[in-house]
Amino acid sequence: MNTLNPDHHRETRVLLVCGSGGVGKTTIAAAMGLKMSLAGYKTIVLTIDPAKRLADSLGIKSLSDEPEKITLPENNGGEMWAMMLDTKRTFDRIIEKYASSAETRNKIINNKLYQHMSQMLAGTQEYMAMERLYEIYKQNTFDVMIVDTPPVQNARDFLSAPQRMMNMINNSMLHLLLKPSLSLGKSGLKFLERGSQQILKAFDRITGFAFLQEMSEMIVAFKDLLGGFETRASEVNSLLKLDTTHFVIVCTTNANSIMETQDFFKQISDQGFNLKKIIINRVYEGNVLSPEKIKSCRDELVGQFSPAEADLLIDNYRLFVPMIKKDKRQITSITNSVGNDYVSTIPLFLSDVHDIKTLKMVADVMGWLDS
Amino acid sequence: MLSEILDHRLVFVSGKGGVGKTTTAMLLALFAAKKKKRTLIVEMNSSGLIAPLFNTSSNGQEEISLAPYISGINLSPNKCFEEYVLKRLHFKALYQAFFNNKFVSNFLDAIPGLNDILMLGKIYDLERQYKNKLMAQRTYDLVIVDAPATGHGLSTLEVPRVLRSAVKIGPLNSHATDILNMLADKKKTIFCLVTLAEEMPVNESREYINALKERTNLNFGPLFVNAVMPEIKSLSRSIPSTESGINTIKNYHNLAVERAKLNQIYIKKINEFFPDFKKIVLPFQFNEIRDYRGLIPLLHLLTEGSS
Ligand SMILES: Nc1ncnc2c1ncn2[C@@H]1O[C@H](COP(=O)(O)OP(=O)(O)OP(=O)(O)O)[C@@H](O)[C@H]1O
Ligand SMILES: Nc1ncnc2c1ncn2[C@@H]1O[C@H](COP(=O)(O)OP(=O)(O)OP(=O)(O)O)[C@@H](O)[C@H]1O
Ligand SMILES: [Mg+2]
Ligand SMILES: [Mg+2]
Repeated sequence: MNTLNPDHHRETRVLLVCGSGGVGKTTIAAAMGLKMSLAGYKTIVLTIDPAKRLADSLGIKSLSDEPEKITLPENNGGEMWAMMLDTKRTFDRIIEKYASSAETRNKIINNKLYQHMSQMLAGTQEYMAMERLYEIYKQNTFDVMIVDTPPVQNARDFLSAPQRMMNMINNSMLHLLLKPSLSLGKSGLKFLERGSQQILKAFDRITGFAFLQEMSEMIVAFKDLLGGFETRASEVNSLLKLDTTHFVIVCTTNANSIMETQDFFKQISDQGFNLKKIIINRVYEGNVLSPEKIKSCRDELVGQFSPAEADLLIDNYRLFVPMIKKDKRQITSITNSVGNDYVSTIPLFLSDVHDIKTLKMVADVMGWLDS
Repeated sequence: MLSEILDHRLVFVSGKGGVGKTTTAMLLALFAAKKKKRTLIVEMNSSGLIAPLFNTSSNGQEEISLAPYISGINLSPNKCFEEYVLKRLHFKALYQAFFNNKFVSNFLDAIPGLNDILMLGKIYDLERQYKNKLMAQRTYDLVIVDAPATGHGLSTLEVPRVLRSAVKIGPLNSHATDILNMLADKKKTIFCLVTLAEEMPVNESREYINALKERTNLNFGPLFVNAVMPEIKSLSRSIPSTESGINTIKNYHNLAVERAKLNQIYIKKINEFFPDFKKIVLPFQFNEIRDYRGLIPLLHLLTEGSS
């Protein structure tokens, strides 16, 4: 069954592309988008920080934060759209949307910590990516949505983003302890229970009262958004768990990338998300030739090139053999631990990938996407 | 060029994800050790990759000896936090009330940049640490920090500045100020960026350096251009595709030629973008770097280049 055929039951509606820094998430997300659009789907790629040349050649203006249509080289009835995620703007917009009053909104927007640091709040970028994904998902205008994600050090950062956001606002000690007391300043402390007093005193020494006040102001104001957040976070969470939502993990054959990927894989399966593929990118492909084979190749090459040139070719190939061997070893190791069906590779290309033509090359080696 | 780096006491090695920061930090440490400098390599909240590269392992945040003249530590934000708190809370009861509260941890999780500032604070302490109570000699001649990847959001190095402008008074403010002074001390501290000679890393390095130059006054050392493919002669004519063996050989010839060309194009760009930076080119290593021994060829190259 061709699961991508629009006439069939649609297996994949949302594809989340995750992985650590620089491994090729943005490239692969764009290539998958291209492939699906060429297969006849109306596709959107939500992308984060694409290479400038890629954004330029796709014609995505930076920070528009709205879907833009991309001109495809051929037309099969599909469409490719792309949108650059701007987390700060999405954040601002959410605050507009969920704040119960202009007063709360202003409180947050004018909060010094929010102004300087909202992007640094734990899990914000990840959360915002999902928030925007959900908005567009609900509009129901696209067949397939592909989501590029910010690099994470570990899977937990990504998968737990909605929960962490909720924890911060919901469970943080602040609204239990601080709201009344802080408005009274330090003197408010004496009205608190002993335990709480101690914690506050400790905080005063560690972060200072001024900081605490800023922070609690922000969180208390966020609490106002909580109703909205709470519903939304659980909606996002169920979207992520739908049968039609799939994860793709991108990695390279470097030892630590493989390690992180195995951890990511475990997280995804433990938490009941659906994994589509682990894509090992930038692979040194090809065979390890036996010494006899190399010799016969050299003999054949000598028929066409000078012996010096034949040696140049052979020596160059020999240089790469350790890389080819390493990649084979790593691919086997990951395949053994997650199963053959879940692993696919993309070779290291001769050039960077930053236009439709080279994206098409990447798309062409992702055969698994159309079967 | 490397001796310029060794004239400092604190080196930050930074760059986009996967470009070779850890490799470069190791290389600098090996180089310094050769010059008999007592060197500490600091990892910031990583999964502890450096100790295994010296064929040892570490558990928890502790300084361990990795090789003659080389020690290592992998900072954990939690441990840094505990140390920071213990230094400021003298009463055990206070300390316990603090740490036993489950709401506290949720709150701490939410403080933006807290992890970064605490780890930088620990680096501040490590650099100033004395060998013994006589306080005559520092423990380390050189502290090399394998800093977190740049890109996407605020970088670790900017956290102290932002935090200080967001919080005008109090302990966090003075903590941030100490760290800022350390970062800005040009005699003491130097920043080395690592990049690949490819589109994305070069552009990101450019944006990163421009942003830092605009907002801070940091002392930039040489730029490391890593994993550059050596140039290879092209052939007098093209190779016909015949069978798989020849094809493989042909593909790798093309790959070598084209990747080397691509690297050279971006080296030109690097020279254009960063005219006032010294550049140190580290060639691509064809043998897998499994441990520190894999870096010896690069170390030789640098040692020759510097004498
Ligand atoms: N298979 C490949 N062969 C050659 N170049 C590649 C390949 N895959 C990706 N690249 C190049 O590697 C660079 C980084 O890729 P990309 O931007 O997709 O990574 P990323 O994982 O999104 O990075 P970040 O974590 O910074 O968002 C790009 O310049 C891209 O052209
Ligand atoms: N010059 C080189 N030639 C060949 N391989 C290299 C070279 N430099 C680094 N590598 C390899 O590239 C991979 C990434 O390098 P490294 O871990 O140093 O990067 P990093 O910037 O620290 O990555 P991260 O952002 O994940 O911390 C490693 O497997 C390393 O062995
Ligand atoms: Mg990306
Ligand atoms: Mg590293």
